[in-house]
Amino acid sequence: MLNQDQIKHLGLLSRLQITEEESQRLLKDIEKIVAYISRLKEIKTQDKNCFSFKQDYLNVYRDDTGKSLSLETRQDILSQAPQAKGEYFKVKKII
Amino acid sequence: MWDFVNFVKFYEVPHRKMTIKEYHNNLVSKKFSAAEFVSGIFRDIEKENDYLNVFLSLYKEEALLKAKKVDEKLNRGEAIGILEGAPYAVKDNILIKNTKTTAGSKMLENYIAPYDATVIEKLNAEGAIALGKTNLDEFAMGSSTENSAFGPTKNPYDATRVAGGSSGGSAAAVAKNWAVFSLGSDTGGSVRQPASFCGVFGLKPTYGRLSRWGLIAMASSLDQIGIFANCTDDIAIVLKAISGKDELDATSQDKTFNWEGRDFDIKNFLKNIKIGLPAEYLQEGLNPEIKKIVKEKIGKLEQLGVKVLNISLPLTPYALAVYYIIMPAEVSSNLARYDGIKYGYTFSKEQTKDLIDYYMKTRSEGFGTEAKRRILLGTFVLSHGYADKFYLKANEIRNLMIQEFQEAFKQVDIIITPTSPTLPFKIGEKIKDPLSMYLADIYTVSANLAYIPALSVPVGKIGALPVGLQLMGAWWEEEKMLKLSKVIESLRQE
Repeated sequence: MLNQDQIKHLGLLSRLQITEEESQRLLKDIEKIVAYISRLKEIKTQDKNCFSFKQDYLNVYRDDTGKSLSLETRQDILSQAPQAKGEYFKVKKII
Repeated sequence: MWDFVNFVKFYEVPHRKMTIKEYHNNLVSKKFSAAEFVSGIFRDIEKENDYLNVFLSLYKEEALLKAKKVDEKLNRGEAIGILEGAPYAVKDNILIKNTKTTAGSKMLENYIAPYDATVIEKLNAEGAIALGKTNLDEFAMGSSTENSAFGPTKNPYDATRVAGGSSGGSAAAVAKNWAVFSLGSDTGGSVRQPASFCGVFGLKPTYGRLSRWGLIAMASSLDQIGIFANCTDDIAIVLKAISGKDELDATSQDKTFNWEGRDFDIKNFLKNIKIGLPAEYLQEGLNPEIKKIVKEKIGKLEQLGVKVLNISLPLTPYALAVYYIIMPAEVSSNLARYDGIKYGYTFSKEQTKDLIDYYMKTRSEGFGTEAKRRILLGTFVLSHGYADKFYLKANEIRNLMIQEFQEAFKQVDIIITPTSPTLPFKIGEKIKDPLSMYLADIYTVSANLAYIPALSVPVGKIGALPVGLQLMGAWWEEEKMLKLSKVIESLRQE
């Protein structure tokens, strides 16, 4: 089902750099795991109503408004950044 | 500044277990002071922690200062709360403000938490004393603590074996009497399995019973903060203190736990409780000696008049597959935030080409092998062409599992199973074969998938190695589960 190129592509999608050697090892691991999780196809779900259980949990909504943090909290958070300038995180050029 | 420690009489910490109530009563009756007890613990930790690798960081000065304040309160004749002065350990994926919180990963090796987790705030309000942060599998991914970037935690009963995972450090801390209770997290068994491996009680509450604010997220629909302790009452006391709705965690429900181990009509309880024993948890793959202990305990309960029914949970063989689709999918999403921009590990070796290159190099160096494996797996099951077959399918079956449990709980009150199919395994035994490691969770993942509460109760040893019994209850039924646990405790021969 899977090949090394696909593993590397999954790496790109998830922003992980996979070396040649790693991709070989990971391919073996992931193939084995995918073979195991594929057993779910043994269960037919099309004819079952998968939402007929009693739902206890409610969806919680709030207004789409921001909360202002204290200066101290903002400073605590920014102090963790590898590169910051004033109240901004510094990032590499995107465009 | 005087070194406070040198002026405190060193008290030999008794190597028998100390429960929260015992500790509290000893403080109140002045049998020993909090400062003596806590400094005794640190002395023991300092002797053996390098070897066992239980704690990643320790707060000796702060803890002793807090202990001193509790002693001063007692000396003034003031009353103290049940948890006041109680020393506890915290898994290092739970944030304590201004302390290093590493999640067991290079990615957060030097991360200083900017806020307290809600459960920590609550324990602070009770006056409990955090001793330090315990070791874990990186980002809570693992069943042995071998995936920690800082080395595995050794099992206190046999140092050649694992303490279990991912909350191995927290389980070992309580087992070693280096904390009267501790906090962990449980996504697929990460509290219950190490509790079983270390011979202590370990609870995963009902999903939503308490706040996950300040718990570093692994899989958001499965994660719950859990509790390790030396007896059922202690689990109840801590659960009462930390449970409850939190505005900062929309998944927390308004269901504060209110039973802290009060006496109850045991006779009546035994008459009415029904236990279910699911056939699927006693089949091939289960160590026969563990099976024997489980059956023995159930036999003893039957002798007390408890009704035991053989039940069936036919979806059990699929639970691990459902888990290893949903969990990696959520992991791949939750770990996307570790990009070296706002906090955490950054790639500093050479100039990186562009932002994507920066992300890729930072993440590849910051994450360990298991984290990468799960992120890739999660990305795979969510990707175009596979999402229906895997992710959607897994969610449908998860719903069917919830229905299956609900049906079972119409017939019985508590379901009993072994916690782990094996005894604590040797360090290095399963680390090369990820799938064999995943199979360690085969009995515990269902509770997380179904959102139900589950407790591991220590029920004996095989040789030197502890064995745990798992109790599972319906949503919000921790009290029933804990009452049954108290009955099982009373069966212990000692």
